[in-house]
Amino acid sequence: MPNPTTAPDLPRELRALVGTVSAPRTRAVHPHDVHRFVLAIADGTGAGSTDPAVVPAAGSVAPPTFFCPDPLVTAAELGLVRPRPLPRNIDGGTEWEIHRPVRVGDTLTSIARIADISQRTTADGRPMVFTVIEVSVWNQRGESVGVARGTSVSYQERAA
Amino acid sequence: MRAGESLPARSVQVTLADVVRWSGAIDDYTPIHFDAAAANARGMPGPLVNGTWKAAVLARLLSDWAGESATLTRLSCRYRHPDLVGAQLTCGGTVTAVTPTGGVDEVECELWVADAGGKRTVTGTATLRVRRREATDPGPVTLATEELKAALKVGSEAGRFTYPITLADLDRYREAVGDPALGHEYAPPAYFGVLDPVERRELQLDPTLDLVPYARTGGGNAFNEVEYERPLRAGDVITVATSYTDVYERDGRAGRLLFRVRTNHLYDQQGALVARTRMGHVLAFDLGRRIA
Amino acid sequence: MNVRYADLAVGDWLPALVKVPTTEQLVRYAGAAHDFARIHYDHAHAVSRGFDGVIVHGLLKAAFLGQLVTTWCGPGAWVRRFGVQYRRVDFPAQLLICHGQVVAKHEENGQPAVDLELWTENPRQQVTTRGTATVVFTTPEEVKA
Repeated sequence: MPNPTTAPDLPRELRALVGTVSAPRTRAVHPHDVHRFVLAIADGTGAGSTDPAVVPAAGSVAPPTFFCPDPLVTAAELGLVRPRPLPRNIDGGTEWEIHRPVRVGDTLTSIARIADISQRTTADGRPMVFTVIEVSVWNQRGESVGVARGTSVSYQERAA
Repeated sequence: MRAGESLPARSVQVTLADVVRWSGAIDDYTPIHFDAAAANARGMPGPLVNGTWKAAVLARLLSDWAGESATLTRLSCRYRHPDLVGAQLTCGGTVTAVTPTGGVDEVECELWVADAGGKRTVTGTATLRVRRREATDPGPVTLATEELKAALKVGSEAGRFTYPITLADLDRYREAVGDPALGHEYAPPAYFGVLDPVERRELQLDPTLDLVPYARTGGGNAFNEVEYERPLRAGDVITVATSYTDVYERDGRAGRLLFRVRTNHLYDQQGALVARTRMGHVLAFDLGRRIA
Repeated sequence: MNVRYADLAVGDWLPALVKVPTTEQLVRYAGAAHDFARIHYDHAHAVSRGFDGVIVHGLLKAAFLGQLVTTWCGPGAWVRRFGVQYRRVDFPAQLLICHGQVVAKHEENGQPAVDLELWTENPRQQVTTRGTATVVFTTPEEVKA
């Protein structure tokens, strides 16, 4: 990924998007959702284990990023349009703040918002736009379970 | 855990099955992650591993290494270079800081994923909250530990808070209680309960009690006492100096009862001591139900 | 009521004060005392903590006992010491009966004083709060700061 340097002003139409909020979504945490997640990141033997004995029991704790495994994906599902001002768009990184454990049987409500948009120029003069999309998630008791932030990086490829 | 300690490096082979399972788990079917033609169209030799999968694997390895007494509170990853499906990756990390706070250690780590050539494709940081192991054999359970007392700053002043008393405050209080003596400028005897920073949630050292690893079965105020040097009245501006003076436990009907007693000294606008109060709170724990 | 110290005897009962706390009262008290603990207004939270419903603030019960005492002794006396212990929880929409009894007559710094035993009872006549108070028979204005 090209390295950003100077910080030019953001075009007005991009600045106006900061603070946009999606519709909320509420979903139950089913044992099979957690099971699928755990299998996807499991060690080596991953493929094909559908042993019911392995499916997590009600009340068991889901892995820490389960509450929002991919905030850029979640935001798109919630209808928040990811700005793509430049031709190449990649996921630059993700941050999770985990406030409370999520358990099988919980109900989670999520909402996404465009938290920040900033612009840089690479050393060879190409623009780069960084959009931070933040997803906040609460459980059925109204307690915050966590916040996940994804950084979408929009840039121009180096000329061939 | 100690600063400078290395997490054991773990080798991870990313298979197409892993990526397909991840696509299903997050309900996202962007073809660049599993379709060679889509990857080639983007100038890539093959499908690319999702950055968030790599982050989730780092979280799993960290949790496996840190054990049951650790909780991940923060994870941050930058996806610096793409990794190809089929790649042999190595995941590792280092503990960068360990900060004891109350009954836990806050452990900061640096994490990374490197490709077969050793290039770091993902770098990140994480914060773990780790309960400290009992140094001695468990034996009879003690809740009122030295760590808890230190977290509550037992024996030293926990804070000073200033509250003016107005006639409107006294009338609102009396109205709420149903006491018809409205307009009386002297505060009623139980009014000291209003002049308390913990009741008002302005002082919160009690979050350290969330670290007691047993199920709570109840709790609340245990007792409240006051001795006044003079009656309080509308127009007084009271400064309350509060400190935890006692933390003790005993067994009761609701389980193991943990008492915390605070002593407040109330000073008026001339700096004269006008009252001393003791505020006792209790939490009941079921020692038969240890919680994570 | 303005009792006269000379008329008091150990064993005298204070006139009982009957309260039926309402949920509105709990909310007003929360505002007046800046005590917004959820167990006093959030039913689901109280149930999740094992109670049948929201519970009355301990310090509100203390305030009821305080009213019992100050109504009895009147403005010619003031409460020097006051303490309560919460034995059982109380719920709104139920009778809470406040009682007091004179247990001693003595002097404090040369001023006439009485010690009181105080308590509240629920509809099943269980004691839910126990308390004590020392009332000094001198007007608040006369008290040297």
